[in-house]
Amino acid sequence: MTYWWRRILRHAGVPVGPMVAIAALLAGASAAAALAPWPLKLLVDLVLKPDADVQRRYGWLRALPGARDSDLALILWLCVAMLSLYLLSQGIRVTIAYLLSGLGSRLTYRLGAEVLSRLQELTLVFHSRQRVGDMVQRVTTDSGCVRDLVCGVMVPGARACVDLIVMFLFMWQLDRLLALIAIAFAVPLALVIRWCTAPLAERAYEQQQVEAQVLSLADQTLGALPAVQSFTREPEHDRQYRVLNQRLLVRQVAAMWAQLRFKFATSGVTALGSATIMLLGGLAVADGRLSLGGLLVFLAYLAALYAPMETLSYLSATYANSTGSARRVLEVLDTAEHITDAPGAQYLPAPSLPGVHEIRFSHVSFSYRPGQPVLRDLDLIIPQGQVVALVGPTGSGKSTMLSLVPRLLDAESGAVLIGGRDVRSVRLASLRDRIAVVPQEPLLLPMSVSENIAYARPGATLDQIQSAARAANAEEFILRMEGGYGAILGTRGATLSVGQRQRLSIARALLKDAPILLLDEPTSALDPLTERNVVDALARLSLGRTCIIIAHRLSTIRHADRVLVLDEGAIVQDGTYAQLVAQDGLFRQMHQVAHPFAAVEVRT
Amino acid sequence: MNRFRRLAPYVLRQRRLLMLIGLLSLLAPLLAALAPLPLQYLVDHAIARKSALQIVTAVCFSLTVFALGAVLEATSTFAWTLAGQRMVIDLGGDLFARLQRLSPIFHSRHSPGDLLVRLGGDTYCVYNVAETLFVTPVQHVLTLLLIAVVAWRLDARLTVISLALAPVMAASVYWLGPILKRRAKQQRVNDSSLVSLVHQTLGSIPLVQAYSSGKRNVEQYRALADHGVALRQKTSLINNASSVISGTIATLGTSIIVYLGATQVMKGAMTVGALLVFIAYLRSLQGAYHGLLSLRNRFKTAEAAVDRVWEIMDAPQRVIEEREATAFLTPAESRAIAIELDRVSFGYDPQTPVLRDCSLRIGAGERVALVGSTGVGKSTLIGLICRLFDPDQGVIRLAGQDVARLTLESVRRQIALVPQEPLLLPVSIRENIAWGRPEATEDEIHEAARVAGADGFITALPLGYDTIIGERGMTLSGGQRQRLSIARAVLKDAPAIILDEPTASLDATTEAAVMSAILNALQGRTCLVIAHRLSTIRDMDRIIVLDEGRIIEQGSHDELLRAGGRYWQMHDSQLSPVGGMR
Repeated sequence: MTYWWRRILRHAGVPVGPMVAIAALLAGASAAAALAPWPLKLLVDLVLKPDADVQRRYGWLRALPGARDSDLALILWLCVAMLSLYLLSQGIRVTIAYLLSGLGSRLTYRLGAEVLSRLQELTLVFHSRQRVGDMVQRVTTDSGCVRDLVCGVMVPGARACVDLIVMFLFMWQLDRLLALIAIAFAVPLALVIRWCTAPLAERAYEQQQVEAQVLSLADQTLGALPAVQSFTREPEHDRQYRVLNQRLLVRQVAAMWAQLRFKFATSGVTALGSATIMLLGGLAVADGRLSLGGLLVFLAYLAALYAPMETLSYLSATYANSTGSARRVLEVLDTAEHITDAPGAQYLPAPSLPGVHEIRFSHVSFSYRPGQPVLRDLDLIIPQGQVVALVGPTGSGKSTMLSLVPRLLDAESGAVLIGGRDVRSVRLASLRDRIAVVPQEPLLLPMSVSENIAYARPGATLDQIQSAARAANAEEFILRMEGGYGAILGTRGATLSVGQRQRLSIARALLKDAPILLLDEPTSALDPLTERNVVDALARLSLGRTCIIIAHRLSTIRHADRVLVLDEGAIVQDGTYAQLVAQDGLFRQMHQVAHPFAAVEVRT
Repeated sequence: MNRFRRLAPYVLRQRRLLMLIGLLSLLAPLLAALAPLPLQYLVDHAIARKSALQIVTAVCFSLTVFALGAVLEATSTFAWTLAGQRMVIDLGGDLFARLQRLSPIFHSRHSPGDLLVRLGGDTYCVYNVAETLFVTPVQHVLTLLLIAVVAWRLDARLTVISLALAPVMAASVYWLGPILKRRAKQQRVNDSSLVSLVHQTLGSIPLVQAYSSGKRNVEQYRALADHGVALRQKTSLINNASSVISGTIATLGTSIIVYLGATQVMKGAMTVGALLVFIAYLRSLQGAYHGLLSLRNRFKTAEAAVDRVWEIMDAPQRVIEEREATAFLTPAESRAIAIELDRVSFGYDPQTPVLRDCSLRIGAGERVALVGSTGVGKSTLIGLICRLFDPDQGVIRLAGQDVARLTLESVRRQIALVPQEPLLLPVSIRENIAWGRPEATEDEIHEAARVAGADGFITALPLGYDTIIGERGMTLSGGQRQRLSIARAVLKDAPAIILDEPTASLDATTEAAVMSAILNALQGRTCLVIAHRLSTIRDMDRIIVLDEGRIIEQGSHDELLRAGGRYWQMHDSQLSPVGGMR
């Protein structure tokens, strides 16, 4: 974590141009700020309490129009100078603020995009362990660490350093001893900062963790709302929310304590410095070694010195604060469980070539948890164009097997091959382009019906969308909705029944029109009549495509060329529907439970 | 103003801390008035007399003032953070409670991402509002008054001039306020849609990956982000413009004071030290002014957030508990309860009714199946019985008691629901099963799991019942999740159990076993099952066929088959011989 900032900056891609512009402006701002107390000093030393030395050195000021004999005119000039210096420094400040606000948010968003795209590449195994709310926070909030770093640490830090140097040079001119003493106070300040930073970072990280927990609880509750309400669990969730918030409050107070302690220590040191200067400077003026105006400049600088010192001291606090966020961002970016293109990954050959879409599982094993294989040494070939039904008891590994084909998961040992190529050596985009999936849980997004159907092909025409919907038997209920195809779906399609969602999900896959079709229980929530229509449509569409279909209802797989029975992660039966019904085995049992009347007829 | 008045209870609950802060606010201006005096003493007396002792006194004086200031600031920061965070937590808790109780219809129209922003971000408005309404103004007004009085004694004419500049500053800040509010709202809306996009994407990772839409999502993210950058830059410009204008006016004021003061000093009417003190006071005055003026803008910014909070609190609740609602009275004779729908009509939006004038009576202990095409309103009917929604017309009765007159909790306690989609929480399997009855014993939990056919796979897990389920139960298969959801309902042991396609993702063998186990375990309970696989429901007492929101047939399996209607059609289509195979 020591050099996290370097990695964060690299991930966010800090642009050079604006940074150079900001650096130049910073130098200008420091100079203007350092000159600010001078008009008052000159006023005191030239007019109010004349100092011979200063009068000699700044005699040229008398050359200003009207100032030769009139002190009043000189005062007026100095007042004008005061105002101009202010305007100059403000002009610079606004420009810097403008540039920084753009830069800061741009960097934040860029880092957020980086995290988002990495999260999208991470496997389902990773996501199954994470909470959505927590991940959302990493993308949207924690990515702000780069803004804090650049706009809260680097730029103010540079500004403070330049301020210190410029002011030191000016002070050196006025009184070397005092200048050295003022700067010497930087040492204890630096030490105090070092001691106080570590607990600050810890507290900040703890606070963010609890914040994420609160967000997760809210997210879970809202996500499972029908269950929450029907089990009258609201009071319990209220209680949990309160408890977590109470814990958050404790953390917030702890974090604030750490900050206050830190601030006390640093500003105490700074105050001691000011007092020393006041004492020694006062004595110097009394001795005539320093003009009164000079002392005023010193005191003004000390007040101004406090600001950059304080900035510098807060830098580490800000840095520490963002360390927590940066850690959470880098955790994601460093997770290696992502599935991406291997170096030198190839495109799949043209779809027209024979055998390109043959799927082969070559000694494939897979487990979510070590020691608990879900698939064991699966070895089979599905020739191009074959429609294969996958049946088997719940939890036998059917969905996992399906997930290996589009590389939602990667095999632990063995390989999945498409057209003889290991899927891991194929470009992901090219692989997934050839595959249409209907997942077990129909995932709909809060956009219009037609956008949901056209999810895989955003450029599809309304005609194409409609015919896909028709084929999936979805058009009828779509047209009954207010707004028809333009109707906006609620989150996760909450206003639709599961059967309706399933049909939209099928329509989406159909519109994609891919040569490989993977269906994970596409009809589990359909009534028998709709199921029959959808199954017929699927049968038409699977013609000429390599298709794997998982189904519990055997009526869904009537059209399959071949049935595979999976049990405990291994293929236990393989054959046509009729063959398997004739065999003594798991399939016959399943068939008898489902079709107590039909079984006899099949055998004839 | 009403929107702010409603925040008052949250603020007033922290009145003790607020009183402490108020007390500390009285001291702050006093210190501001004292702060420049050591300098005056140094310039006018100590240096002039070349007295080292006096110089030391001046320095000690200034150190004391500083130390007091630091203690004061620390204490009030502490008190204020504590009070403010507590207000935020109280408001957030109420908002969360409200969100939980809004009907699924409301939630289908709002993205969780947006709601989370309101919950986690917008609730800070109470902190901001309290600060801008109570804390800061008190402090600034006191500073203004005290310094004005002290400065008046120093030089009346200069004080009048410096106070006269105030209205000019006020005007400049005033006209920028509305612009800032609009900007703040735009920024929030943009942020919200960004969070929604991220949430939506991360919530549907399997889809994103299978359809390789990752790149597209990132592009959308970038588009929103670019918009966000532009908005932020504009806001920064406006914000700064306002501070530059008032700053310029303040500096102009200082220049005037310096000019006039210098002439006074030359005339001998004022000492140099007094002039310096005056300049310091002028800065304090301007600071207080500026603080007061910027309150308006901060207030405007908070306004947008406050509105977003009340929008949720004021969302019409479709299921409202009557004021004099009573608890359900458990009938003495039987644990089971009759469920009755009397001419019920309902639509998610009133134009498109889902249920039309639907009447239905399920006797106590009766086992009824509900079948019908997808989307005819089966799940809606169940939602109405559980009071997830209330009917537009008609009455629903449990054991003869109108549910609209009962407390929500007592109604929902009578029914164990297995929803269509098993909703599991990322807690242990044990907690998930015991969700409806947290006090259940270990034995009861195991028994429920056994009935639901879940015991086998649970004990096969390395941590067994202590296994924590991933978000949305992703490490479990659909069938396993469904069985946990069933176990949960079995354990709840309510007088009525409603199963909404409880076994859709189970294979036929497991399904038959689970179904018979459930029916055995729930002997004597009222039972309503929705199923598409007709083999599941053959043995039910009565089967009801729903179409277009109406009941079109009912009777036992055999009766309906003999009648040769819709049920017969469905049966024929599903259970026909497998001759359709290629």
